[in-house]
Amino acid sequence: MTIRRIALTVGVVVASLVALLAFAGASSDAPSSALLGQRVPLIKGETLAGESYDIDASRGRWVVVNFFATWCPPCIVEHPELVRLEQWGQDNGELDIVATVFNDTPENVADFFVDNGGSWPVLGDPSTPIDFQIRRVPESFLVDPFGVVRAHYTGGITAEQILGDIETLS
Amino acid sequence: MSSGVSNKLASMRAVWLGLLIASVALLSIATFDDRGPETSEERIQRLSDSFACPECDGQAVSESNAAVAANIRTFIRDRVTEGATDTEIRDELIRSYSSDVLLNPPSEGISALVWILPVVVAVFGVAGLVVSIRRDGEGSRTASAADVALVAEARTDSTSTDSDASRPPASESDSSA
Amino acid sequence: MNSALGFAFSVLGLSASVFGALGGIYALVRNTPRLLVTVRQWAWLVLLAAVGAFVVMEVALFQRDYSVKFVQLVGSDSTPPLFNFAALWSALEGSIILWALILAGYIAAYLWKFRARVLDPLHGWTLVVLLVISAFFFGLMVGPANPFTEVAVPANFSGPGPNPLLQNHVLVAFHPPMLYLGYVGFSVPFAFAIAALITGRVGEGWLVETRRWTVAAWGFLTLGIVLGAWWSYEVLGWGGYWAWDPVENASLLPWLTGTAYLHSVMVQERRGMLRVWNLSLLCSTFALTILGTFLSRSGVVDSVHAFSEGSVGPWLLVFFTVVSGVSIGLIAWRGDRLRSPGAIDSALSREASFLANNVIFGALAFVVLLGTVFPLLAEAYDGTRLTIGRPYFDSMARPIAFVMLFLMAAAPVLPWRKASGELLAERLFWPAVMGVGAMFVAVVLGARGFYPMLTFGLGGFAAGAALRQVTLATRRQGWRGFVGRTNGGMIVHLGIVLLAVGVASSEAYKTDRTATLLPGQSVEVAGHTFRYVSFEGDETSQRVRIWANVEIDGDEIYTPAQTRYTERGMIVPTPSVRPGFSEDLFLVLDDAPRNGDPDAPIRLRVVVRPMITWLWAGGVLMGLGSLLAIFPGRRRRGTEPVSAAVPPRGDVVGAGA
Repeated sequence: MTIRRIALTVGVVVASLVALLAFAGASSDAPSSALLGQRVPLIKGETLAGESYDIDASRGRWVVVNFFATWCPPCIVEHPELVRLEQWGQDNGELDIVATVFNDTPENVADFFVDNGGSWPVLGDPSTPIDFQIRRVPESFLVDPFGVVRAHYTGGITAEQILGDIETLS
Repeated sequence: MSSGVSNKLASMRAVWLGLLIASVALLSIATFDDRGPETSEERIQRLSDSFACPECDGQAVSESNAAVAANIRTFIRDRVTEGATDTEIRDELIRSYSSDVLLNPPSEGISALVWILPVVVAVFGVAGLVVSIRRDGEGSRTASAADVALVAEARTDSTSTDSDASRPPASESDSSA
Repeated sequence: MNSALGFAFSVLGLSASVFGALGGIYALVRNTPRLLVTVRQWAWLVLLAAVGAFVVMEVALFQRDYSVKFVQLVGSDSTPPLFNFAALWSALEGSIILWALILAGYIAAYLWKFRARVLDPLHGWTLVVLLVISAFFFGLMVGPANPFTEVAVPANFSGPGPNPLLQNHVLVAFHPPMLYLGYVGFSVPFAFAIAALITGRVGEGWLVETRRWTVAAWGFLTLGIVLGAWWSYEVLGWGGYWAWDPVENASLLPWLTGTAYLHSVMVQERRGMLRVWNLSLLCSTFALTILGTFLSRSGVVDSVHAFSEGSVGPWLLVFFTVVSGVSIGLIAWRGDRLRSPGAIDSALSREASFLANNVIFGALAFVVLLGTVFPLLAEAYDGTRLTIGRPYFDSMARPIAFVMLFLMAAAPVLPWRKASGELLAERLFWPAVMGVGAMFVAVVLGARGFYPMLTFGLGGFAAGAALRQVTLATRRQGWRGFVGRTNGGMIVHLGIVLLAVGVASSEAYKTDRTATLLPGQSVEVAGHTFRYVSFEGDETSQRVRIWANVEIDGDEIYTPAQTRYTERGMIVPTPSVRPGFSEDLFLVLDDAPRNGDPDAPIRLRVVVRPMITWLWAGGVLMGLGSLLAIFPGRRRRGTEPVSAAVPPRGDVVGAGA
């Protein structure tokens, strides 16, 4: 009798394991950023060029917070778009860009900007990607004039996309 | 009993005591003569070992070549240099990447089970072992009818593999004994 | 052409398996021996079909016949022959062909071995179970995972080739087949167990016949796992060899239950005890191989080397359910017959130590399974996302491993039934001296730390016990002292000790440094100087390979490399390893110089792991030990089911006394 009872118990355990495995994996991943609608995490410190930077100084303007690396092909692809955005911001005075480099060296970044243009501040503090929950580059965030994170982009961005979003969000 | 035997026993006991002392001594040397307090390099290594790279399916941050892992490694190094405590670093990473960044599941909530269950199973296993040895040890030295039948069957079984389906099933009281 | 032919072989395999199994069941139930004989023909057809499917796929791979879907998936014009051959098992569909081939091979070996006993119902049922298993795998090949599907070929098409990680090292040609030989090998003892349950012949006879099959499967699985660890060390470039990844855990689970079985089966053979337990272990070993295949093929658990998820996941889960359900049901049904007649007399006995071994292996298997599936459980319960990784498994496995080492020292010297303290003191004397000696040598050589020292001590103790057994056996029997189950087993034990020492020292005394180096600069790690000399690269149509020349101790040049596979656009680091008896120097090129600039810095990672070669040596020794254990040892009485005195019939005492 005891053997049957044990067999029954084992059977129940195995059945629940099967049920678990059968219904698991249905869960989806890729959660949208928890930062949306939150105040932007502090970005403050010295840029790679040696100037001081504070994101709060951009209050009143839109800010694109970009995470990139020089070794990342999509980052190279999106760079001209960022250059166009910077140009637009300088013309209209409503948009700043700040970038944080991900796992790269200051020399590479300097070369990269010389080769590809652009003059926005680049910071190298590894805690910024942590604060923004970066998993892979490129990733970008759009921060509104009140300092609230409004949009999150994984992968490369285009200038049209950002400008369109600014239009709809303002 | 000759005195030779007991002498031999006594010397055996002494030798074993010597071996025991030697091993305790060697283990203590190995344990307490260890390197001094943890260097910050060791601390960085230990911390990097204990976090999962968020993009690489459970690989440790210290083991992964992914950029996010490299970034977390640099982050840990910076925070250690700045004098942050383990808990602070841990909390900061959890805040960003949620608790699945920990390779070691936390010991509260549902994940406490993953720590408790093995202990429960171990306790049951050891208890079962002790009980079965003790019960069997006290068991009768005489064979029941079913035992005799089993032996007969097993003997035929070992010489030839003829069918043994004719054996009567054991009675209820046997199986619960 | 290949497509149609291959599919025809799959269908042949499926139908031969199904007809064979159905015919066998009918013949066995109706007791018609004439029909039972024909089952053999069906089984040979299965072998023909499996060999045919395998050959067709290899031919298609070598002809670059991209009209076959699988070739389009993993073939490429530029893959070198060895990796092209191995491409068959580099993705899901092809690996099922390999599985079917190995299973058919085992069935054929089984038929050949027991050709004289074809009419015995026990063997009939075994064959039926094996054919049902092969029907399942051929069914996958015909249905959800058909590798031979014909597809259109775009003009000038060349496939991407196998996953770059699987065309980087020669071990790829050996690790998966070994693993499958192990996995699939457990089908035979499983089939025997089911047949024994169905026929009700649950005595010890069937065990003796399956012993070698189990040892062989176990040996292959061991080699497969160790080769996998080695491959991971040589190829993956993270400096380790075992990550407690779900797929690794999946291969470890049947190994653990299989190991438990190999020990406890001896208790049954000698004393007739633990019948239910042994049958359960065999059935769970086989069920766990299926579960492991499911875990690695379904994408349910996150894993670095999970196959891309296909449609076979649900089928494997169904098969696992059937296997477990049938096993549990049969054991419950035959439970009354399985009552163990023997008794354990003393805690100081061989059988008690085997029981302890089973508890400890069972506990480890439980921990590994729990850690692997628990994240799913937590997520199903309240959405918590958890990662259970190395620190958890390490801290759970470590104490268990110490108990294992201790048991490996004590169990081999214990006699059956009962031992006295004096006997133990005498027999364990030299092993204990060896354990203390090992610790002494380690301390003198400068090794410190509690855990490694305990490993050395217990390892020496266990090695001493194994050596004692082999020495005594060879003294009595000459070269025959190395063969047979016990002696071969002791060689396996020695292998495990080497492996444990290798793991302990390579983990505890590991040095891991990353340095940024300009050409000509050097870094010192663990007493060695590594100088970055220069940077080179070459290019083929298939890949771009760049490497750094790194001079070690002003002497030899080693070349950690990065390879970019053009077709998949994937960058694979290739570590460069200087192996050695006392330590391995492991170099990884973390970052190549930017734009290939020869004056730019590289980032070099150096991992120094002492005594890691001991681990591989231990694995090889375990394989060798399994081989020795398969050869027949000294003749002894086949079984000794109950060693308690059996009184004459007249003296029988009532049950439950």
